[in-house]
Amino acid sequence: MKHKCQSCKNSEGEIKCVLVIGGERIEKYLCRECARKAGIEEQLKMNRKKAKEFVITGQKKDTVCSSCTMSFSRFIETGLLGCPECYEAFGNALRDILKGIHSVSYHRGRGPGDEKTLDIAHLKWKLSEAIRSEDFELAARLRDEIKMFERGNN
Amino acid sequence: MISGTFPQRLPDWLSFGGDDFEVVLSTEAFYVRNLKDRPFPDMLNEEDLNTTRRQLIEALEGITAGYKLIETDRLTPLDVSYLVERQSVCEEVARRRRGTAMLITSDESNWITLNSSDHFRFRFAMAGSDVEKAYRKARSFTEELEKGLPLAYSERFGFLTSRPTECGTGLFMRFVVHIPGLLFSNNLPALRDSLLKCGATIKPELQEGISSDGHLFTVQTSHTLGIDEETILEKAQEMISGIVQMEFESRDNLVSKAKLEIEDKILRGIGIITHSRLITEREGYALASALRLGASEGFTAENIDIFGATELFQVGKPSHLIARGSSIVQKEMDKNRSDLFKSYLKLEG
Repeated sequence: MKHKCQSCKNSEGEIKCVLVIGGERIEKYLCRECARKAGIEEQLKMNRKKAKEFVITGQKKDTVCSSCTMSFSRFIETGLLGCPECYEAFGNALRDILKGIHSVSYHRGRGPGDEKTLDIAHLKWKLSEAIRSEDFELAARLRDEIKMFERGNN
Repeated sequence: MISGTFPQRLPDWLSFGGDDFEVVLSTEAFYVRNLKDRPFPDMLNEEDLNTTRRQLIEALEGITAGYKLIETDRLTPLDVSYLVERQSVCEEVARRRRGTAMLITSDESNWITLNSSDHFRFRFAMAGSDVEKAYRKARSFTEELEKGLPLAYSERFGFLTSRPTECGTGLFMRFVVHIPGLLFSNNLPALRDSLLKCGATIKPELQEGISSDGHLFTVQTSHTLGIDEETILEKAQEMISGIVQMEFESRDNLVSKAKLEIEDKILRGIGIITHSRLITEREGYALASALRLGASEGFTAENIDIFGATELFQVGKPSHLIARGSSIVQKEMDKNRSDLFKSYLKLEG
């Protein structure tokens, strides 16, 4: 059975990725490019000849959250983060995991408080991400959206 | 005993039915929230857990009028499993217990657990298929909560939760569905695949084997990050309408093609209940399913209605039998289950 890549939804998802987090198994089909982006490039190289199924359970180097002393390896074991600061402390490794689970690693929608201010913060955040990943078409569109939003509020 | 507080039958909120009740037993909206600047419960020691619990209870005082407070670590294991069996507490609390507490409404439709994997987890439920209402209830509660308390939130990751699978909106929707039609026509794998593609999972309601024999499953949305609440709801609605439609189509198909076999299965179920002396938990689930299907398709009008049949799922669960005075000996339980099931059937003569 052929699957579409669940991340970009364009190419054929030929690689089955299995994320094991806290005993929960999350299965995803990704194309080669998205698998690379999700940070399983190394495993890809190592397992070229084997089945196209990869299990991601963690990273090699251990990081410790300075706020609550939770280590990344323990997080991988239990599937539970230690405190709100862990999200920043585990940086890219956690972002890759979030991408693996949710396809993206940024929040969309309301926060505690005024919905509108948060929406614009979110747009600005997306803009900076788009510029960073050199997606200028998206960046231009977001810039227009932000302008319109700001004009509408004044 | 907690069973004195909560009835030994279906929870009140579930016993009136709702839209598409033939297929969808319940719609639940869950939110996960945590306090800012404080480790998640797993990283707290006993003393901190108790302090946090006290603070959380105090903080909720203004918005939980009418809720009953239960300090879950004071309950017996039997009490906890009783609550889990009626989905009035999450298994998370049952596993931990230490330093946890819950607040629950008397009809059991809404509950908040404190200090389980996260500081707050709450559920607001509606009988039948009602995404909008379940969500609206949960949303107004979380708005109150957000007003009064500093919550863990970041612009990038949204509401921060101990599980990375729940951060972002911290919102997910869950449905309990009864889908004998889809199972009889072997459509479960296809359904599982298509749900996975649209970001949802399906699992047996309680336990592999037992509840899949009862054709009772929970379907849950699984994406919380990078998707706003409105989209989660839209998807959940689309998903559940799809399941309902598929299930009704399968049932129509079965009734038109294999009416005799289906009728046989259902009436045979009545026969078993009437004449057997022992019913195991697994068989009880299968019988409940057959009668529930029969009741919704109009085969068992004289014997049992859909609410009675739904209740069979509940009353035959082990802790519920024990709460009625059964011993924990397997044979005794099977006998009690059989007697209890008989009392639910209206028989001629």
